[in-house]
Amino acid sequence: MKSLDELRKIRDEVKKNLEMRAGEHRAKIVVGMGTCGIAAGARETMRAFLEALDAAAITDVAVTATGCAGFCDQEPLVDVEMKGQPAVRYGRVDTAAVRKSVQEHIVGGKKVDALVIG
Amino acid sequence: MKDLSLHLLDILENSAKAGATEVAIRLAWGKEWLDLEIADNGPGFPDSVKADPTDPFRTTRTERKVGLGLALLRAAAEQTGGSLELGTAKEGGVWLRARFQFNHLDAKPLGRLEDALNAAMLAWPKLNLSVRIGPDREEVLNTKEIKAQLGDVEIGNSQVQVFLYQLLRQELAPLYEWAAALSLNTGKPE
Repeated sequence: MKSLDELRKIRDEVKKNLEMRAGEHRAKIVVGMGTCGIAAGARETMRAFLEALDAAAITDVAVTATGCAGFCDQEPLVDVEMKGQPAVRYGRVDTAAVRKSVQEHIVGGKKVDALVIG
Repeated sequence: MKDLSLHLLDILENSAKAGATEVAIRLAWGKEWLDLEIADNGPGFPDSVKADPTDPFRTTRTERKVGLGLALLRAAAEQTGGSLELGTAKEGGVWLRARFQFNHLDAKPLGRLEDALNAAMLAWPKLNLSVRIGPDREEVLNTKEIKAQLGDVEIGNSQVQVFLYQLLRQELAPLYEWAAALSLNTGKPE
């Protein structure tokens, strides 16, 4: 694999940033990636999150995916779990909603009520 | 499925659900042929399915009696004048090669293959991906190696994912160029 050097550089940068926060990720984002999610655009939602986090120079957020949660008509579903707080579930998360949730919730610390479901 | 990236994601899900821990993905192309080869180290086709895995009524699904993934992949390949070959991988599990004639009117677009690989990495972290792209089948991504390099840092870390996404787009660029030049369909990519 090429670019392992670059990967190592990123690893070191991320580690440094994590160390500043005592090794903890500030938040975990779980994107619904079941068939319903994919049909609703979850892949674009995930990509938008990664790009928004990168643009905001946030390096201590972990992104994972999960399957169908049963709220198919609310897909793309995204759970945002800030460290030490219960997870907040957002529904119908399109790219505009992604930007909002990164700015207001992940950076600003305040959940976006308009997006919250159940 | 609108594009080939969705087929790729679907087949990788098969490997993940079967409990495979390694899957090799190979994309090769030349003239007008595109080959998508996938081989995993899962348990392979069980006897109930082996006779014809592309039969939608033969499936390992338990929640319903129909599995469409392989049937749709075969249709996607054959409608371009291509084929789907299935067998046993040298790693022990399922091996398949879907061949598409890309300058065919019924050839589906590639879609964003990097999105499929990114989603697979995050949805099924226990499934390691080895991706080879190009006629020389050079390995451009190996999640086992990546995790080894990252150590404590999670592969799901957003910075790491952005890097891998950009790396994949770079490595896939020649394939996308080839596809754009050959494709008879002028539909805009989504």
